[in-house]
Amino acid sequence: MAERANGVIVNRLPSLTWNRLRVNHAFVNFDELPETNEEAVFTGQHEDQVKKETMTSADAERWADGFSRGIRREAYIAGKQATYQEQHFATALGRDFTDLIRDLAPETAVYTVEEGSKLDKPVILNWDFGKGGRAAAQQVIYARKGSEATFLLNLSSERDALGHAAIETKVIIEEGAALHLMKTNLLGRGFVLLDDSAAVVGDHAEFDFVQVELGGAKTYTGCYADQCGDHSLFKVQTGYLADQDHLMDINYVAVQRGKKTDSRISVKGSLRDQATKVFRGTIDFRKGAKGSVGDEQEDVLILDPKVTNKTVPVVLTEEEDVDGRHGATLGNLSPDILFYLGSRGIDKDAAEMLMTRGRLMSVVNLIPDEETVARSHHFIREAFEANE
Amino acid sequence: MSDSLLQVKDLSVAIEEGQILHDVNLTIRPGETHVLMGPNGAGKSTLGNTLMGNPVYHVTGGQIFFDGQDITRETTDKRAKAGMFMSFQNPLEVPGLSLESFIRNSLRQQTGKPVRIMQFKKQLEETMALLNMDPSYADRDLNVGFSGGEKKKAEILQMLMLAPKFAILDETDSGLDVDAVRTVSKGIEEYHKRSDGALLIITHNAKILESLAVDYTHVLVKGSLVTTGGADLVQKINEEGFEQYIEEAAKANE
Repeated sequence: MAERANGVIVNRLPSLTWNRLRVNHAFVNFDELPETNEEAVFTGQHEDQVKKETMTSADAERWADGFSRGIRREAYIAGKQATYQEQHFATALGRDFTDLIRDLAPETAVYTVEEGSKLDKPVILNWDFGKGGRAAAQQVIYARKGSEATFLLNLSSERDALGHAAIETKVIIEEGAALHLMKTNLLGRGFVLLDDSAAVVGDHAEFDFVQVELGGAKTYTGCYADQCGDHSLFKVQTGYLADQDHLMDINYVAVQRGKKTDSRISVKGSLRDQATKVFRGTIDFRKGAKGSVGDEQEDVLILDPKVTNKTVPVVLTEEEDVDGRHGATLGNLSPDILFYLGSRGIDKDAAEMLMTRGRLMSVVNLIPDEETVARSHHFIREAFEANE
Repeated sequence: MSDSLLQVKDLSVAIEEGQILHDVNLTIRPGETHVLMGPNGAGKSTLGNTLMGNPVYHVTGGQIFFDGQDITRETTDKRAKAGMFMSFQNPLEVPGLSLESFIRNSLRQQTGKPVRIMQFKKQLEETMALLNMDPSYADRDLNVGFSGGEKKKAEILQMLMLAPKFAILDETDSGLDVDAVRTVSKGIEEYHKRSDGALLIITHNAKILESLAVDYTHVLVKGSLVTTGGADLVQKINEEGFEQYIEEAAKANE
C-alpha cells in the first residue's frame, strides 16, 4: 500500500496472477501525471456534424454512470479472494485514474450523435503539445440508437518534446449503433501518456476501436468494453512501436454479458532496443452470455534481445455455451530472413523498418484521414532513422 | 578476362562442420547462361549461397569478382545492389510484409530512388500475368501460405522486376509440375529478352533447360568442378548420370 501514497495504480488485471511476475497492475508516480490542462493546443474538425456540450466532469460521470445498467462494482480476483472496486462505468485504467482525471480536467466534452444519423466524415480531435507541456482531457461520446460515427483523437508534439498527457474517453453506444473510435499517439520521446477508453455497448451495437501507439516514453493505455447488449460486437485493432528504454503498458478487457456477443482483439507491435511491453488482454464471459465468442491475437516482432515482452492473455467464463480463444505470434528477424531480404538489397536497418511498417501500417491504414495516415507513416520512418 | 561479369578464383568454402568447396574457378560473361549440375551434396547450393554472401558459409580461400570489383567480403545487400540476385530453393515466409511491398522496397533500396507507383503497379500486373500468377498474391504476405509452385513463381517475378545483371537460380524447378516448370522457363526467357542478364542455373532437371540456350555446363562433385562443357553435356548427364564424374573425382583424390 505504501506505493499508493506516491501515485496511482492503473491497468489492473481482472484475474490476478503471481505478484512476482509484476503484471497485475502498473503503477504511475504522481510526478508522471499532468498538473494542469492548459498546455496543449486543441483543434477540432467536422465537429459540426454532432451536438457538442460541455459538462462538469463530475456531472458527466454521474450522467454516463446511468448507462451502465446499474453495475455497482468490479472484482479483481486472486484465487478465491476477490477485491472489489466501486466503478459504475468501468474503465481499463481503473478507478484511481478516473478519480484523478476528474480533478485534472474539471470539464468534459460530450458529443452526441443523433438517432439514426450516419456521419459522412470522421470527427477529428487534435491535441498538439508542440515543444511539450502538460494536459488532461475527458470526453464522452454518445452514439444514439441506429447511428454511425467515427471519432479520431490525435495526440502529437515535436519529436524531442517532454510532457505529460492524460485522456479519458467514455463511449455509450445504444441499440443498433456503430461507433468507430480511433486514437493515435505521435507524442515526443519524453512524454508520459495515460490514455483510457471505455464503452457500454448495447443490443446489436458495434464498438470498433483502433489504436496506434508510436510515441512517448511511457504509455499506459487500455480499453474496457462492457458488452451488455445482446449481439454486441467489440473489435480492437492496435499497432504499437516501442524503442529505446520506453514502456508500453496495455490493458484490454471485453466483458461479455449479453447473448451472442462477439469480441475480437488484435494487437500488433514491434519492440526494439531495451523497450518493455506489457499486454493484458481479458475476455470475460459473464453469466447469461450464451452463444458468445471472443478471440484475442497478438503478434510481436522482437528486434533486439534486450527487450522485455510480457503478455497476459486471460479468458474467464461463468457461462458454458461460449467460445473464447487466444493466440500469440512472436517474430524476430532470423539470420535466414535477413539473408533473404539482403539478397534483394534490403539491409538490416531497412529490413527492421520494413517489417515494423508492414505490421503497423495494416492498422494505421484503417484510419479514414489521409493526413493522420501520412503523419504516422512519417513517424515510423523517423523512429528508425533517428536510431541509426 | 576483362569482359567477365563474374569471376570466381580458386574459391574454397567451409561451414562449421567442415570444408565444402575446393578451389572452384568460374567465369561468367554478360548475357551467358551457365548450368551447374552435380549429385546431391556436391556443394551446388553452397556455391550459389557463397556467391550471394550468405554468412553461414565462410570463404577460406580465393576471391569473387563481380563487375570488376572484389566482393569476396561484401555484405549480401551490397552484392544485390551491385546487380546480383538469387532465386531461393526454399523461399522464406515473411509474415507482415506483402509481396508487392517487398519488391517495391527492394527496387527502392537498389536504385536509391523512390519508385513511381503507377508505373510499378502496371509492370507488376503485367509480369504476374506472364507468370500466370493470380494478382491477389501481390497483397498477400510474402510466401505465407503460397504453394511450392507459387513460391517459385514469386522468385521469378522478383527477378523480372529487379532485372539484375546476374541471377543464380537455385533449383528453381525442384518440386514443380510440368506446367509450372514451363511457366518458370517462360519467365527465364523473358529475363534474357528484357535485360540480357547472365544466369547460373543450379538444377537436377533438364526440363527447365529445354527452351533455353545454354552456353556452358559445369559439373560439381564433392566440392570440386570436375568438368565443363557446352549444352550437349546436359543431355549426356541426363542419359548417363554422374557416375563417371564421381569415379573420376575419387581417382583424382587417391
